Amino acid sequence: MAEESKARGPMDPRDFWRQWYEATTGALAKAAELEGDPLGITAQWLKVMEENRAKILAGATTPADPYTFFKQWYEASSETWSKVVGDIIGEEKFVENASQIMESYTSHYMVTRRANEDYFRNLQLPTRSDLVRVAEIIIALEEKVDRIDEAFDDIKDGSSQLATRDSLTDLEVRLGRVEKKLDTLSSVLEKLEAIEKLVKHADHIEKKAQ
Amino acid sequence: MTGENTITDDIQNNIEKYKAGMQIIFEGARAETGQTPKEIIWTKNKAKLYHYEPSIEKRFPVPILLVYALINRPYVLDLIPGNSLVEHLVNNGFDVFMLDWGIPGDEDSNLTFENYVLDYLPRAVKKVLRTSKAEEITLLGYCMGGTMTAMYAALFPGKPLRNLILLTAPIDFSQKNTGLYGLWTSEKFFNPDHMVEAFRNIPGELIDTGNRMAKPVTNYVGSYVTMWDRILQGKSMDTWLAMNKWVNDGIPFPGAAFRQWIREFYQQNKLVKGEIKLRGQRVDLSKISCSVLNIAGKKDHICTLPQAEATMNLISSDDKEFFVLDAGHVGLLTGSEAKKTLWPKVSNWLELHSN
Repeated sequence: MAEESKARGPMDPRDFWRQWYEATTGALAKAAELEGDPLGITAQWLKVMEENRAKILAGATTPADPYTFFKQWYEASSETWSKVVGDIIGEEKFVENASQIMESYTSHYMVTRRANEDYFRNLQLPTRSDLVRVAEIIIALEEKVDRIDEAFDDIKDGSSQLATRDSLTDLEVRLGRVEKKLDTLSSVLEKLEAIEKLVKHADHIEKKAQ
Repeated sequence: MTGENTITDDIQNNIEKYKAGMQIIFEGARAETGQTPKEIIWTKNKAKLYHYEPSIEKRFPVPILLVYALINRPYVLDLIPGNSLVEHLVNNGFDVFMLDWGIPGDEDSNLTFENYVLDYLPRAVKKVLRTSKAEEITLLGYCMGGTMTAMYAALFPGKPLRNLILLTAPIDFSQKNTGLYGLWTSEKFFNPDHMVEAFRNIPGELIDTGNRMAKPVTNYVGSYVTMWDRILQGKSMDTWLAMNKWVNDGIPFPGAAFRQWIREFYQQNKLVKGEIKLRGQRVDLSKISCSVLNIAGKKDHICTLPQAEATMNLISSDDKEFFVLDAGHVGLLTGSEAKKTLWPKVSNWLELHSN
């Protein structure tokens, strides 16, 4: 019984990790052999894994606590990983592939969106585009309100000046004076016209008398 | 018996910690962000202009308008109490405002930099001046918000713009400066038209993936190693949760603006050449003559050091300073290092330039 319990007892974390490591790297290496590794990602991954394993095993102790172990692994490997990943994503080949994936995704998205729009339109249901049109009208209206608000602000700030009651009264008085002057001028003109007529009439009588 | 209890407690404690970690992984980080008291003083479409409530009497007459980017959410500038640039400025007696562009919908896919720089920004500036009863203003632009404020400063030089602070603001987009982004967005591999046609607005998740892929190991693994480390050691998770929430809180990028951003900035590098035109007005950065504080991070891979540094030779300001921090794009803004470096630098510089 004691022997059995020993056989089934908790596994040494290092053994467990070693088994996991060998199984994972072995599978990855085989996959890379069979399916090819055009960007060299798998090869680089395996290289980094090997380096990290060496770094961790070089340490004095391997912690049994999984988190501390993971943290050690991360600290040992993050710099290398960052460099490897940075090199990969900074290559034109990677960007070209990513760009093609993005292009096909956007094309697919666009086709789906248009198909959905048509489908709902045929069902006589409002679509997102219809909502957008309504929203645009509301925004345009809001824009007009904002302009009015701005105009009021300008008036309040004194950039534009409103006529006050006093200034209007003043204008009224001044207009009244101008009107009076015009009346005077008009009466003077009338008198002048009358004088002119009299002169003409006098000339006419004078000519007749001669 | 005591020993047994301790072991049981330890196990229970570890289970709780494990549960907490798994909850974050599966449900996402939850945190109360953007808590500095504020009120909305103006809205336009989805954009909101916030005015932060002063915590002490206003010490400086020149208000500050923070302008955020079109990517992710602006609460990174006001992350959590004790870790917020906004809170720091408010507590130092500045009158602080922030322009939040909001979350664009499909109806906003036609918004361009013309709209943002010529319509939204000038209106926001006017509102700030009016609210603050000020005649001059300081603009602080972060990331793309910095690029936008630089364009505004070039198009509207002179009053009311008194100071310009550019925080990791990309200006020079030549391929040698843009690193991986330059390669990924090059004309050879990337056509923004297809994406805009398909999505209208570019989904936040897509932009987020692009940003994370620039540092995949750190972003996809390192971040969670830090999380477990903090949980297991019983350290405070507040900042980690808030940052993680922010990182995963991507918003759509308006299609037309995205097209401009990729084509005219990344692919053609028009800004430094003085070839960007907004409604026919040429954006000439040499027109910028106000006081400028330009800040960049050595480890920033989103706006690299040379991208930000280029500004210094393009503007004509006599009073200009380039300040470099040993930090990344977001790291320079938040966290314990930011408290010791960036925040005092910004507030000290502003104190000298805001009277």
